[in-house]
Amino acid sequence: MMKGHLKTFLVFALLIFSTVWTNAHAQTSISREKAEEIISEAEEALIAAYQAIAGAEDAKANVSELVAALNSAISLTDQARLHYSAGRYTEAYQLAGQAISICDQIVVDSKELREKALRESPSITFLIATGTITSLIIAISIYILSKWWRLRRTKRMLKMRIRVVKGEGD
Amino acid sequence: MRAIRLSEDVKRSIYVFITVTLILWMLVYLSFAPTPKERFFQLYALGESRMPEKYYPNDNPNIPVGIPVKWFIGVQSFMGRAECVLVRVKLGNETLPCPDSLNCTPAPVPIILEFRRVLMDNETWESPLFWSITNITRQDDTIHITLTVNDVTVECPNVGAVHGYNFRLIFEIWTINEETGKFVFGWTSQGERRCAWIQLWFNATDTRY
Repeated sequence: MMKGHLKTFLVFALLIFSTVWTNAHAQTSISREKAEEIISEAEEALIAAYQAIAGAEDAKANVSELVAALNSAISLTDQARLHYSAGRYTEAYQLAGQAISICDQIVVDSKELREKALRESPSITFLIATGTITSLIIAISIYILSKWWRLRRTKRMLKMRIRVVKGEGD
Repeated sequence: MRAIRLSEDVKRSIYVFITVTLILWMLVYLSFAPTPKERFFQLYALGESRMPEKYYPNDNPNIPVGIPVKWFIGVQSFMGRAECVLVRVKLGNETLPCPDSLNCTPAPVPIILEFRRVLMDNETWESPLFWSITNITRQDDTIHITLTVNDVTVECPNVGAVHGYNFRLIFEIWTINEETGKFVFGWTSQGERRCAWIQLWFNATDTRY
């Protein structure tokens, strides 16, 4: 619970930091080439984040929060593209920068989630070993029970006495 | 060499051991093996009331210049995992080829807009597509149009229609190929390529022509 709050806090802190940082650097105008470069970097970061999420999901981790974060990064990149095509390179640069920060965080979080999921998930070797031991215990129990039952039956038979009922076989 | 003679109890226990072991192994295998099922996307378009109706203003597919048309494009994922989806909106006409569903090749017509989103399994995503014809130009009998789609103006000089009839907007689903990191038309399900696309027809009309 606490960890989830901490993660949300960190994402928001990162967003605020990146906004402040990019605003501080917005004083200088950004060239078209720089904006284009950072947008293509953002596109690559999106793909890397998606692949990291897919890796975490393969390990059966819950990736819904990461997917929501990736969708916000996609939205920022799309907005950056719109600003770029309208010639507003500074805005495009800022938004693409924010998208890259989010994607980098997603990659880190995905790796953590993947490792955690792999640690927590039961391995197939462990389950097979447990299954074999369980069946061995069942088999030994059945052996002991059947031995005990046979012994009990033998004892009962030995205790039996022949009883002659008068009038029969005369 | 003397053959080992097992008592009835030992024999019974061995049978039980083998049977229970096999059953438990099978359960472990079934819990780990992915269940093979068809994985697919659904792609649909809705009219302005978010229903499969009223696709055109006054239900008239002849769209005059400046009249807004409101559609909603929806994608539903049944891929069993998170998938990055790209919906490409393309402008075509009667003669230009449409996507090939058999070989999963996209339509070789200009892209006018793209939507992207990562969808979880069973998630539905609807995106508005508000468009209008902002300009019409004529070369002989062929009409060329300029569209404004979601506040973005797009010129398509290579796509014209005779007397403005039978333009079409084509919507294609593209997904990321995880190995290459590039978007490809359609997706892979059980080792086979699948694809989904839809199209909506309209006519570009102008009183001047």
